[in-house]
Amino acid sequence: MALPVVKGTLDVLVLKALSWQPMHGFEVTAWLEARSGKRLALEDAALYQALYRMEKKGLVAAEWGVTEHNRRARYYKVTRAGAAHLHQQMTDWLEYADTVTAILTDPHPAR
Amino acid sequence: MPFLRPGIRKLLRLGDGREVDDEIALHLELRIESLMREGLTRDEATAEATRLFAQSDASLRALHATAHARDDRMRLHNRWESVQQDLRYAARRLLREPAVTLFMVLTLALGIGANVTAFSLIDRILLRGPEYVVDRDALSRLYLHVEGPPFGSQTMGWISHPVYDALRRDMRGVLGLGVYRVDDQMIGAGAAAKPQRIGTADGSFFPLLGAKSLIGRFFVPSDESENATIAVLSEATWRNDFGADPAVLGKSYTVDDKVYTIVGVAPAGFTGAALDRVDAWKLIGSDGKKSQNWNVIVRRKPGVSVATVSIAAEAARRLSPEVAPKWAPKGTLLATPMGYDDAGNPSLESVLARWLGVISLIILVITCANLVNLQLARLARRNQELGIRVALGAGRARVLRLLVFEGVLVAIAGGVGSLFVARITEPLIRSVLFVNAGFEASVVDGRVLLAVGTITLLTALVVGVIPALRMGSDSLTASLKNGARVAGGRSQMRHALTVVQAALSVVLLVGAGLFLRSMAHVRALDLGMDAERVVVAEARFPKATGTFEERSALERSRYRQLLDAVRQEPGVERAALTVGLPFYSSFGVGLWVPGMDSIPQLPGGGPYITAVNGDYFATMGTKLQRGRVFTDQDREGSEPVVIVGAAMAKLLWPSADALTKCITLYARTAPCVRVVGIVADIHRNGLREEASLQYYVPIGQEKSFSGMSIVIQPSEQTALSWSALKARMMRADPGIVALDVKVLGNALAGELRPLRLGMITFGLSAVLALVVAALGLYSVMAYMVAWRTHEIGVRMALGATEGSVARLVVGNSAALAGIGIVIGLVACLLGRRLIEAQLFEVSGADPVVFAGVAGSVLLVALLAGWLPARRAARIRPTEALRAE
Repeated sequence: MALPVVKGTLDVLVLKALSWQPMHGFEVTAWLEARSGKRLALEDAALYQALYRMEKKGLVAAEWGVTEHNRRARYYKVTRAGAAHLHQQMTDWLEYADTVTAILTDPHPAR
Repeated sequence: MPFLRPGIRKLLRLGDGREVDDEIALHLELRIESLMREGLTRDEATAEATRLFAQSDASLRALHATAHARDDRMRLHNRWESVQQDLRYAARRLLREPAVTLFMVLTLALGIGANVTAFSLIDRILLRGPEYVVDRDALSRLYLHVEGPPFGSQTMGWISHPVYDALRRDMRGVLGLGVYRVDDQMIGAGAAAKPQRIGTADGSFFPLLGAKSLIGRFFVPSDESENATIAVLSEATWRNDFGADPAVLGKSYTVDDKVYTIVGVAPAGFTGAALDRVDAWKLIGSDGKKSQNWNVIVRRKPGVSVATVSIAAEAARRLSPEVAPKWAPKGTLLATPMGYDDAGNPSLESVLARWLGVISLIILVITCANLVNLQLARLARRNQELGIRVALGAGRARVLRLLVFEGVLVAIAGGVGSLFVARITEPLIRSVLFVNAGFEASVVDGRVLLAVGTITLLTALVVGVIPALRMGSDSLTASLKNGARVAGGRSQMRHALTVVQAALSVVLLVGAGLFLRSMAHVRALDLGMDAERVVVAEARFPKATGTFEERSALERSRYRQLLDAVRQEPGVERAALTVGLPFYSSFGVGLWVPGMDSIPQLPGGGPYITAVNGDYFATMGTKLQRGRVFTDQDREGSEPVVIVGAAMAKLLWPSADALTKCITLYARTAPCVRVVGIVADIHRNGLREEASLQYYVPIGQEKSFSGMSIVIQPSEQTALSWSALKARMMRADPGIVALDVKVLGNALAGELRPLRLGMITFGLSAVLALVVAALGLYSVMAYMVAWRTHEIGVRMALGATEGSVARLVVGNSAALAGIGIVIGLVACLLGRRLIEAQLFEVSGADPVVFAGVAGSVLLVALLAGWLPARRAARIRPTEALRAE
């Protein structure tokens, strides 16, 4: 059962993937699928949309390169602004998740 | 990939070579490969890859749109990057030769700066006119045109107030009329009084212009009916004389001994209907309403032409025949647009602005020609480098773009520099050429910036594109095969540019020469007196009462007392009294000659009567030809005597001795007045003047005219101090209201100005142009010698002498200049009307000037060819051929 990607989290996931190293689009897909054990229902088209959107915002930068099998591919990397954005989003997300988790797992909800 | 879903296929067809296509295609390929590794067949893998890519058409469409936008953005970005790259490259190239680049930028800054200056002046003088005037194009000025004696055919901008009243009553086709005039009047009192430019206007004048005051108000029609004595200050007067006092309204301002109440201050740079400075405005008084001399301005109704207004004015005047001046019963009224002088000719300012326009354009063309020449020479040197770039695949267009960018960069730098140049030259030119101008500096405004931009753009195109186009790809590739020498064959263009430069220099030189000749003619002109040396002192007394004779007698006695005082002043060689002053006032009275029914006329008019005392002729430097001058015994009550001018003596008594004759003055029945002397004729009105009838009577024997002046011949040894002179006169007669001292010859300044200005503008620009053209000629010749070294070497090996080689080079230089001279002189012949009206007794096609200019340009061409020729003559065939 694939989980739908919560709106707004795709950008963070992509940035996280790219924070390891510059990747081309399929590498990002493959990376996300590997990390999630294919549990995320991620449309490839949406991924590219996210990449283009973030490129316009200056969060990622693209450059043509060559894959290890000598194919021309466009590699994306996180810009300085993108790194800051990722850091901020991660902090917010984790705090949010902690809060939600704390509420849902409170052993004494009626205290 | 025929198996792909249509939406994806569409995605892959984003356009030719769109980058998104490649990216998505790679993604799908990698996905298919990865799925096949998991065990799917190719078809299954393709279907699964497509499904994974997008579940719905909507998300595909969304991606499509984003991708489109992204691609456009990237393309723009890429293009901009390559432009930046080329700009950087061009800038680096320019910086590698800083001296040449600086030379080009400075030259352009001067060339464009000259045009910016000319434009800002033309803009103000010809296009926009005086500031604060609403819809100036709808304004017209009225003139009186008269034919026949004693004026000949003449147009004058002076109209009498009674005529103006008639026009106001009956003229159709106009929204309104107003009158004004500007003249020098004395401000303040006593020795401290100073002449200022005072405008006098009626109540309709300011509403007609539509101008708004800075403080208080301008005059309105109701002021006239109240006979108000009110004044409006110029902003400069308010600032300088009243310390910009905000409470200036209600204070008094004394003009010619009359006190006016200040009711307003005009905005800065307000000059009324014309462009000359006006220090203050006063409302017309009852005296003014009797005056003959007014500028009449009308505002035409929409759709009414200037010609129609002419007819309407004349029609209205004919309804009131009684207002026609006695001296010009047959005059007709006509209208012109604004910007014409008192004689109905285009004002000197507008003529000057046109000259400046033409001259600055010529300078710009010469500048551009020189820079194109320079660029061509540099390109010839770089031909091989550029050829290599083409060979490396830069593409011809890209290489050309590099060259254009160099031109554009230089032009932009020059354009920016030109603003600085203009900031310096514009006020300079305004203060030197437009002395009376009251208009404010046209600071760098939108219009000027637009002009700079346009001129710079055109320059950039010329300097950047023309040399680039000359570098056809054929020559670039050829240069790789043959070496740089081939490019020398493309020098026709450089030759043509040199010819253009020579021709334009000739035009400017001819202009300068014509004005020089005019000035020489003026210098050689015999005015019949020493106007440049004679000083005039005039005193104004409080208004006297009594009959005209009583008032004249009083003036005479006060002036005789003043004359005695003036003669005591060190620095005064001699002094005399006169009623009637050359260039200022001329009088005529009834005159009859026994034995003649009527007095014959001379083209210069007359007979003009002047009342003088004995020292007058010696003081003025006017020569007595025969007989005697007046003595102190010739005065009121003594035997009436007269001295006549030479032309009058000759005209009236061609075959008899004038000294035996007499004339009758003032009344036909009066006793005949004996002629006791004959003096040289003098100019009465200005430089341009034909012979006139002139005669003199002793002071005290004049009747029906008055207005005395003291003329002074300063000493050659002791300098005359004007302030000491004024102080002495004040001591001699403390009742003096105001004093005015001036040099008589200054009245000619107006006539000399066009000549002086013509000499300055054409002279300076001609020298500049000639230097630039000589440099251009020199560089072309030097370049020719350099690239023909081989050929010259061969010639010398075949027996050509050093002399013949030098002659070849010098001859080439002279030939180029010669073509330029012919073209330039023809252009001068065609364009001579532009300046002919401003010349003084010189034809626009003066052969002396033409020959002189042709000779000097040829001489310069020979000099410019001389150095390269010597270099050519020193070429040794062995070395030249070994260099190959």
